[in-house]
Amino acid sequence: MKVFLVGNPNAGKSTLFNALTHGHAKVGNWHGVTVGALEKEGAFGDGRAVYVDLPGLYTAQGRSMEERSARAALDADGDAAVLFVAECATLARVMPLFYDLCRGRRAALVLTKKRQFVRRGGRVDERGLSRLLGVNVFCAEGMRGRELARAAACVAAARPLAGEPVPLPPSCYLPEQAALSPWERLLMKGWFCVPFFLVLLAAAFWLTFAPYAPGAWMKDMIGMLFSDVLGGPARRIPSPVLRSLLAEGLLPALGTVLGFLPQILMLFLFLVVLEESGFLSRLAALTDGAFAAVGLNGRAVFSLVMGFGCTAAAVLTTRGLDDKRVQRRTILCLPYISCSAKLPVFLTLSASFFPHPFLAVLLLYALGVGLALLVALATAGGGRAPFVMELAPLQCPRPIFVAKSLLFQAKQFIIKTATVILAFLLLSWLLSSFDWSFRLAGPQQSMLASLCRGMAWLFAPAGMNDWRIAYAALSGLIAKENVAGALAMLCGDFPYGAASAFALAVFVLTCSPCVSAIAATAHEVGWKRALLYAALQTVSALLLSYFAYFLWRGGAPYAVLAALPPLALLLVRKRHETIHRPRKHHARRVHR
Amino acid sequence: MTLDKAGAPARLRIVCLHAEPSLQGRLRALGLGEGEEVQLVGASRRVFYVRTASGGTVALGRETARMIGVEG
Repeated sequence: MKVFLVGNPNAGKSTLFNALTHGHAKVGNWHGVTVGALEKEGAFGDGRAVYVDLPGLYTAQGRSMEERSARAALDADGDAAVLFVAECATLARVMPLFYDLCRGRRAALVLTKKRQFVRRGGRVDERGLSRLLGVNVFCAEGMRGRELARAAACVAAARPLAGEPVPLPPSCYLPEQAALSPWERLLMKGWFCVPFFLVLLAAAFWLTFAPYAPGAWMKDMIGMLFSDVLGGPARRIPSPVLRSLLAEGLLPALGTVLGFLPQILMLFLFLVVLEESGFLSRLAALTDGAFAAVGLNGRAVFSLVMGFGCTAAAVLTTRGLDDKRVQRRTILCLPYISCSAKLPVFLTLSASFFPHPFLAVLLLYALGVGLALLVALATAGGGRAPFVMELAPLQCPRPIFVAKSLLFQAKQFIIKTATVILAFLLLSWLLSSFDWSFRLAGPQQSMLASLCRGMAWLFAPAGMNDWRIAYAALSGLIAKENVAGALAMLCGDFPYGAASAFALAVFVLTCSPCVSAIAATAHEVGWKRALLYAALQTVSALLLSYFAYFLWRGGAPYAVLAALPPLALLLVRKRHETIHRPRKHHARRVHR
Repeated sequence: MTLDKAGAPARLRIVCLHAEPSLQGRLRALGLGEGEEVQLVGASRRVFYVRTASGGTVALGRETARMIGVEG
C-alpha cells in the first residue's frame, strides 16, 4: 500500500516520515525544506506500507515548481491513501486544501505542534473533529514506533473523503490567542536583524577559524594523530611500497582532509541553528529588497545559506522559488558561495598568503559572496515574482535535533572521505609513485607526471608552471576536498609564494562545482545548460586566478582599476533602468 | 486603500485582491483572502508583516502589498 504525506510547508510531514520509516529526510524550520518526493517503506499497523513524503503545498494547483511536482505525484496515483499533516495553529485555514487534495481518497488528518498551540492559548478536540469531518484525526506529537504505525494504519480502512469544507465550531477548535513576542517584533526591524546576523556570522567564523579557537585546536589534534601517532610507525615500515603508500601518500592526504572535520561541523552547527531557530525566514524577508536590486529575491537566501554547507543540496532547494528566472540566476550564483568542501583547500593555502587563517577565510568567503551578487546582477532582467513568505515560528533549536543533524553531516563526510576521496587518493598515489614499468619512482618520473606534464601551462600565468598544481586544482571537479588531499600528497607544504597561493584559492573559489552539484544543476536546468555553466565557470575561474595573481603582485592601484568594470556595469544598468522605467500613473494620464 | 498605504500597527479587513490567479490562491491559502481580518504588525519601505487570524505571520514585498485592497 502507498501512503502520501501531504500538507502545507513546514507542517511536519518530513518529521512524521522519518518517525514512520526511520528515514533521514531533511527537516528544518523553513517553509520549503522538502523539494522532492521521497519514498521509503515503513511500519503500517502490523504490516508495511510505502510512505511518500511530498513537498508542501499551499494550494491544490500549486504555484512553485515543488508544489506542482507534489501535485503531479499525487495525481499519478489515485488509489494511494493520504495522511494530511496540518499544524494545529493553521488547521482552520487548510481545510479547503484538505478537501481539495483528499476528496475521493482514503484519508486521515494528522495534527502536529499541538503543545506549542495549546501553550499559546489554542484548543483542539481530535474526537470532535473526527466526528465532524468523518475521517480519523490524531495528534502525532509524542507518538513513536508501533503506536504511530497503528495510528497511521487507520487510513487503510477509511472511507473515501466526500463533502465540502465546513467551518470548525468552537467546541472542536479554538485558534491560539498569543500576541507577537518582543523577539519577534525586534527581528522584524532591519536595523537590528541584519547587524545581528553579521555578528552571529563573525562569531561563527571566529570560533571556527581563529587561532587557539576550538575549531583550530581540534584540527591540530587530528593533524597530530595522523602525522605523529599514525605517521611515526608508518615511516618505520620496512617495505618501501607500503611505506610510500601510507607515510607519504594516504596518511598526510587523509590527515589533511579529515583534520578539517571539526571546523566543517562548527560551520554546519551555525547553519543548523540559523535554520532551526526560524531566523532565516526573517532574514529572507528583510533582504528581499536588497536582493531585488540584483535580480534575486529574499527566498533565495535559504539556497544561498545552504550553499555554505553543500552546493548540490543548495541547488535542489532552488525548486522552492516561484520564478524560473530567479531559480536559474540563483543556480548560477551558488558555485561562488564557498561550500564546506572548499574549506580544507582555503585553510591549507591561507597559511601562505595571510598570517591569520581567520582573515584569509573571511576574505575568500566575502569575495565569493561578492562575485555571486555580481553574477546575479550581470544576468538580472525580466522582472521577478512578487515576494510572499510565511515566517517560520521562532523557536530555540532543540539540542537533540542539532546533535542528530551534526552527526549526520559527520557521517556523510566520513563516508565521502572513505569512498570517493580515498579512491582518488589511492589512484593518485599509484600514478605518482610508479613509472610505466611499475617501479617505485619519484613524482617527476611517475606515470602521473607524464600524463599531466602537458597541463603545466594552465597555472603558469599565476606563477605555478607545475603539473602537480594543475592536477590538484582540476581534481576539485570530482570533489573539492581532493584539492587539499592532492596538494598534501604531491607537494607537501605549498611550494609557491603568497600571490600564487591566493590565485589558486581564487580558482578553487570560482571554479565549477563538483560533479554532484553539476548533476543537481542538470536535474533543474537540463544537462546542456549545466555543462555549459560548468565549462564557463571553469574557464572564467582560470582567468580570475591569473587576475588575482596580477592584483596581489600589483597591489592597491590595480585593485582600484579592477573595481572599475563592475562599477561601470552597475552604472550602465542603473541608467538603462532609469531611461526605460515604466511611466507612473500621472504621466500616463498626461500623455494619453 | 491598498495594504502598502496602511500604517503599522493597524487592524484591517481585506476587501479585494488585484493579483494573477495563482498568487491570489497563495494569498488566500495563507489567510489573506477577501473578508479576512488581519493585523498589520510591521511595515518598512520594502516589506510588510501581516498577522493572520490563525496567528501566523506573513511577510509581503511592497509590490504584493499594493495588490491587496484593505479597509481599516
